Amino acid sequence: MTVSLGNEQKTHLKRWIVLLISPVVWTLSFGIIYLLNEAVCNLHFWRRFVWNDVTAVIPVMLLILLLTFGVTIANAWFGWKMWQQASSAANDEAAAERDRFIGAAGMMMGLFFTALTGGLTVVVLWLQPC
Amino acid sequence: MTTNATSDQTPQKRWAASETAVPPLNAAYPEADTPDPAAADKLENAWADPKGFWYLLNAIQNDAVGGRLMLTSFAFFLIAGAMALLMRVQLAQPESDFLSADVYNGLFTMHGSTMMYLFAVPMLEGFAILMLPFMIGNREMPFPRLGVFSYITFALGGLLFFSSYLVNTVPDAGWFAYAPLSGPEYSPGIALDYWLLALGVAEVAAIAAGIEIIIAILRLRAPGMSLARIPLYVWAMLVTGFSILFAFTPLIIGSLLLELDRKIGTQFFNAGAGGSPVLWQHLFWIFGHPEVYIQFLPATGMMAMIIPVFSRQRIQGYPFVAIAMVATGFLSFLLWVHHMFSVGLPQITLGLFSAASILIAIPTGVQIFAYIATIFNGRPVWKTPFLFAVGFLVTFVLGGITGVMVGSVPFDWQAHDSFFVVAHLHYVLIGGVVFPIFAAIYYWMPKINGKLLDERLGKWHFWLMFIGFHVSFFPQHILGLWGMPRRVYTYPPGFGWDLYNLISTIGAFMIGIGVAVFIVNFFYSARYGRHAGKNPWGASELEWSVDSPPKNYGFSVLPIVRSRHPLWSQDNLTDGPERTQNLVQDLARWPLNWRAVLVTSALDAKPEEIFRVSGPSIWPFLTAVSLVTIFGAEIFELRPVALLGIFGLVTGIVGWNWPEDAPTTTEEEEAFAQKHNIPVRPHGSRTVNRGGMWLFILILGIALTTLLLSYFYIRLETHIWPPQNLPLPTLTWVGIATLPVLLNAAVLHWALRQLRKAKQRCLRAGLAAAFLLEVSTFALLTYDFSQLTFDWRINAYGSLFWVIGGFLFLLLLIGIGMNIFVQAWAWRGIYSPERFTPVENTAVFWTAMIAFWVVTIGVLYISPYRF
Repeated sequence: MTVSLGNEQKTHLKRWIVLLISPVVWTLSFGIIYLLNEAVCNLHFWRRFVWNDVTAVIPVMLLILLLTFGVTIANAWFGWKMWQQASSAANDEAAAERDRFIGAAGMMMGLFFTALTGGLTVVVLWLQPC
Repeated sequence: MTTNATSDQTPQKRWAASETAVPPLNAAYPEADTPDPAAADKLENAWADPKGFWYLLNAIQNDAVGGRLMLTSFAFFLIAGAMALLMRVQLAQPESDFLSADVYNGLFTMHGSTMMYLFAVPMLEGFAILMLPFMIGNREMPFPRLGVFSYITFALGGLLFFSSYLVNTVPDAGWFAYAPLSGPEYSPGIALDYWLLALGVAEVAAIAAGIEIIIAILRLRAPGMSLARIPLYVWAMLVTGFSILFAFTPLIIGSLLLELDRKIGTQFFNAGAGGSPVLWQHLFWIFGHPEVYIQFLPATGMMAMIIPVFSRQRIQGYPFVAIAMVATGFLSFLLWVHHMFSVGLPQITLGLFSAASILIAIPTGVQIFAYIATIFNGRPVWKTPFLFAVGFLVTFVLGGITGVMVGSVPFDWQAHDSFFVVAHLHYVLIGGVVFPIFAAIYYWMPKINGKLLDERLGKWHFWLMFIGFHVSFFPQHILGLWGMPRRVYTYPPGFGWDLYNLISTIGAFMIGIGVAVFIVNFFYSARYGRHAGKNPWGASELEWSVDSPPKNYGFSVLPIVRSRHPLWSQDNLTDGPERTQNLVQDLARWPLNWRAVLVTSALDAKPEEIFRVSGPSIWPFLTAVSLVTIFGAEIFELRPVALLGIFGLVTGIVGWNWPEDAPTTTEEEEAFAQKHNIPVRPHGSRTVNRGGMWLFILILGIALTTLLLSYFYIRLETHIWPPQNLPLPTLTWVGIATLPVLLNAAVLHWALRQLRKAKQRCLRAGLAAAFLLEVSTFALLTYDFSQLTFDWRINAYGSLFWVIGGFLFLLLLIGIGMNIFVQAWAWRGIYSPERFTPVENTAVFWTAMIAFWVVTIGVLYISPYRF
């Protein structure tokens, strides 16, 4: 006997995304920026790409941060929407409670990691690599 | 507290009527449904562990495994604590000759390593294995045999580690074993091999328990316990479980690389041959810092359970605390460099990690403020668990504040390697972990053995430990700021350090006396303690609805959860959707002769599957002993013994996974499945096993990623790549070998589809074809490596090439091994359209293998041409 989930599975995936996308993307962007910085400080490696100036990497870092901003803000927005919709749903209390929780969690995660991304942006703009 | 109670309501109904109120201690709390005696006896027998001698080797129940883990780790705690006292005696006065420098070096290494690897993590994992099934309202952990394996490897690994004293070669390079001090040049002999290999075993045990915990939380929760209703401790353990996988795997890889440097002459950490000692620091601290949160998160989860009960107040800000735990888990992986601020790293790196280190105070602070708000809005009942909880709050906050201080780069440069850091880490780890563990023992012991621990002795224990702790460790802040370095076995008089050191030693002995009082209390209460009853604290969670101590089966009728605080908000644990009610009631009556566990969905905890959880077996024991034999033999380079261990390991794994006949009839299964519209799988769960396979693949992926990042780290520090005019890798053979890898996954999925259509011959043909493809890949890669003109000793590039290649060989061998097992069983006709999980898992593994292969070949063979 098999249990087919189909669309329900997709909806579940959406909920997981709302819950976890911000920390995942932020972790990735942090890791990439760190590795990029380590790499750019070893210029012999980057000269192959004609990047002789260490500061040339800063726009790339900012681009990554901008993308992260986008994801975390979108996450906060979708979380808020899910929370609102769940709050006004009247039929299935258990499902509404779950979605309120996930929505609120996604919204707060999004906001928190947006703030952290802001902190990283300041660091990148403020400090020179190496 | 106010309620809308009316006089005709029962006490429980009255309190359940309010979503915010908390029932009084003496209220009637709902209890797990009790089956009829005949059914109960049968269930008890089905879930019982073997008796007598076989209990020692085979016991598999979560309470046996968890309890053993806790007791053994507590024994290690006592040993490490005694070591700390010896060190404090040595430091009590200047120029003391109580201990020699060598003995002192060994003591601080063994103390730190034991506390970090052999006490805190196993204790917390043991507690989780013991209590989780009751907390999440199910009967058992998903992989009981993995739990046994985890315990035996941990216990034997710990014994192996301490056996270094028997041969007088004690590890002495600190709990972090920095290279090059720990390398072959500066630490010849076998002392560091003990550290790397014996603790390596314990790390494997930690990962095994982590897998169990994750799957249990995601898939074995009681019906209705949706993501929004999970107890906060369980949330904490979910984050911790994943953190263990992501943190311990890089450490195992780092330990492997260092051991290879020591044993076969690789050059990973030898700067003279292109390696990097700083790489070891990265690999170690990418484990080492999350390790702190791997210990702290379960501890704070325990607090989130205990504080509301003794404050008689629901936890304030449940979603905030749950989110803060998840955020802490992520952030904890991005702080490791703050242990390396004084290494000489780029500015942005320092800035990023300093910012992240300070920012983690936000989610941690959210948790602390939630606990304070809960106490503030509640009516505290000052029992011993609550005293330890308050001790946690006070001490951990102080440790957190100094944590923010050392997170700042300029301050860290000043305080680095001083006693200030010793004070900080003990405030965090004793305040943030040991106090909660004692709180948890006082709180949950009545559930574990049915007896309340003595309150008067408990209060003595608390005050001795609390005062002793601050007397011991607060002066160390001052010592550090006055320049006393850590890890020195003595110091000259006249620096103003003498008095503070003496005070610190007095405090340490107070802690020791406090722990002694606890041990007396433990044994006294076990014999003379007051019987606890089911819910002595008036608590709100499911574990308090079962007997104390619980029956072997835990829950006969699985509870149905409709609230975050089921015992505070629900009249009973049996009402719910009709389908679920019928299911849990019938599950209490069938099956009664095998260990049935309910699988539920990850988000909503809706019933999805019933499966037979594995029973007692000697194979996990044999597998664990074999693994420890391999590691132990390698310390002394006893290769024949290691080979024997490998043979035992393979035999153990085969026996462990050997298919067992279902103790039921197909008619019974189908009748139950059709009645409740749910699959019944007496041969093992598809969902749980698939989850286990994905986690296994995740671990392999983390290991491979660690190796590849090490490759790029060393590559970045080298001007010409490959160095020393070594030839670029040839692409011919690996290019050809890529084809069978790609084809193999397709063939296996085809074979799986044929099995689902009951075409046994096609299944066998598909598996055989896949086997040929796999062996051809292996042969082609072997041939390619046989053509290499350099070996692993030549330089760091050679080491990386051979070891990453070796890892690829290992992955291929695992996949081929899986295919052989599955094929053997396929020829015996064991698989069917209903029973196909091993085939599916093999196909999934080889699908993941495509990614492993492509990325590894891309890095090893292609990247040197471009980068």
